[in-house]
Amino acid sequence: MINSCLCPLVIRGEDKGPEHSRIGGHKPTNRLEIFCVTVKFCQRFRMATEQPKVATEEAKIDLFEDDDEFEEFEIDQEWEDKEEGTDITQQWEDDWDDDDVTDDFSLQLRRELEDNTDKK
Amino acid sequence: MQSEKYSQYVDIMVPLFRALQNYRLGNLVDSYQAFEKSANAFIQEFRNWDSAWALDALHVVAYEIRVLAERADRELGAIGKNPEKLKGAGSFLMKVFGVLAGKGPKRVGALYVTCQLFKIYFKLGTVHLCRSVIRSIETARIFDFEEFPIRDKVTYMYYTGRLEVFNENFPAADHKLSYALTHCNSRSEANIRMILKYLIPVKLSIGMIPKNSLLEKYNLTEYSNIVLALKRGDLRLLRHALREHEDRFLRSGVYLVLEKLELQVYQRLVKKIYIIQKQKDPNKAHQIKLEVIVKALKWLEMDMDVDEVECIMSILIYKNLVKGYFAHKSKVAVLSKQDPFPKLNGKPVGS
Repeated sequence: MINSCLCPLVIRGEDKGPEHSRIGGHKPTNRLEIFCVTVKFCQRFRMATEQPKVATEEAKIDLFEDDDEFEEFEIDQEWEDKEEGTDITQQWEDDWDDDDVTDDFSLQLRRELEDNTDKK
Repeated sequence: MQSEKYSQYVDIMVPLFRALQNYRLGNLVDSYQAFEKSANAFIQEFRNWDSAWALDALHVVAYEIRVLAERADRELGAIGKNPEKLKGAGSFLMKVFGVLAGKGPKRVGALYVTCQLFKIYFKLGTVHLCRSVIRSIETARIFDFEEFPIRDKVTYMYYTGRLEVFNENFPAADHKLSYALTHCNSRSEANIRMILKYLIPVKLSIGMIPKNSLLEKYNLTEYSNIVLALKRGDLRLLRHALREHEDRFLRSGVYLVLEKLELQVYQRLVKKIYIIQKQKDPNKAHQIKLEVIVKALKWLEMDMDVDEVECIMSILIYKNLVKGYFAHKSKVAVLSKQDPFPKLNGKPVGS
């Protein structure tokens, strides 16, 4: 586990660092790098020792919840922010409000209205 | 001198390991308290470092403190004590935000911290606290929104978009949620679904409907009948759909938004009556007798008398969903010969 934490940081220390770590132009000393790694180690330790029993207690407790909490993206996650989005933006229709009255509902409506005029 | 140089790291590391140990033992409140101590010591040092080299670590701290606080609160709740750790984590993160809100390179981390704060406030139900941090992000001249990482921008627009929905500010909600949708990682299906859950009621309110394929793909079929009701002008179906998924809509807070679609459904129904009349007798079509509408509503299991229908028609005219006027004595709605049923065209009703 420690190796998997150290390696990404060592590689990052060279060229592929996230930009914001390099903006100040300050190169971290070895000890500070180790500190950063240790924090990451702690996170993975926590995740590895997950307490499953917490889940059952959840049901009994009436705490506030947000059903729609956004899932975390990975810290280093960038994705291709091209117009991949256009596919999903083309899923809306604004021309649905047409003059077509040949659907079942409209035909039934017409019958209802005609029925009434006949009854007069 | 030597011990002085590294003592600050001792203040960070010792409580951090204590937090881990407690976590492993299942003492979540103790774990949180130790972590909070470590995090505070970390921030003390962080604010003195000129470069942003420790931003990664800061991200982890910001996330972990929130998650730990949630677990600690659950433990407190289980033993009958007051759950206040998440609130405390919120205070800590506000402090962190203050540290990041400067001119230096650290400021790109501010949006991530903002999003963690949003998650806390939404969970606690104290969403009014979002206002001050939103104001800092949007109006303070320190930040350039475009500088932030895309993942934080998407998350930010999702939460601020939700706030706009609660405030029924639909054009703003549309802008923000659409941004989140367009720029979200297409593989994050759960997140896309959440965005759509709030965006769909907004789009419906401005006269745009989602394709059924979209609803099916992201498992949002609770909206299917609402969309159908709007397309048909079927008030009975709308009421049925609202009742069927009432709990779900109430929980997400979109119930009122959907309920207000009723006016647009009325518009569609009256329009259909108009078209049907026009096909029979084009010369008389623009005059609609109220009793005809009453009969249609009765068929849709809505018992209304002529006066109530008159009231509805007046509202439709007032909100510019119907163009025309009302001949009260003869109980006839006289529609404008040109564009009697104006489309919303992306604007909410009555604007």
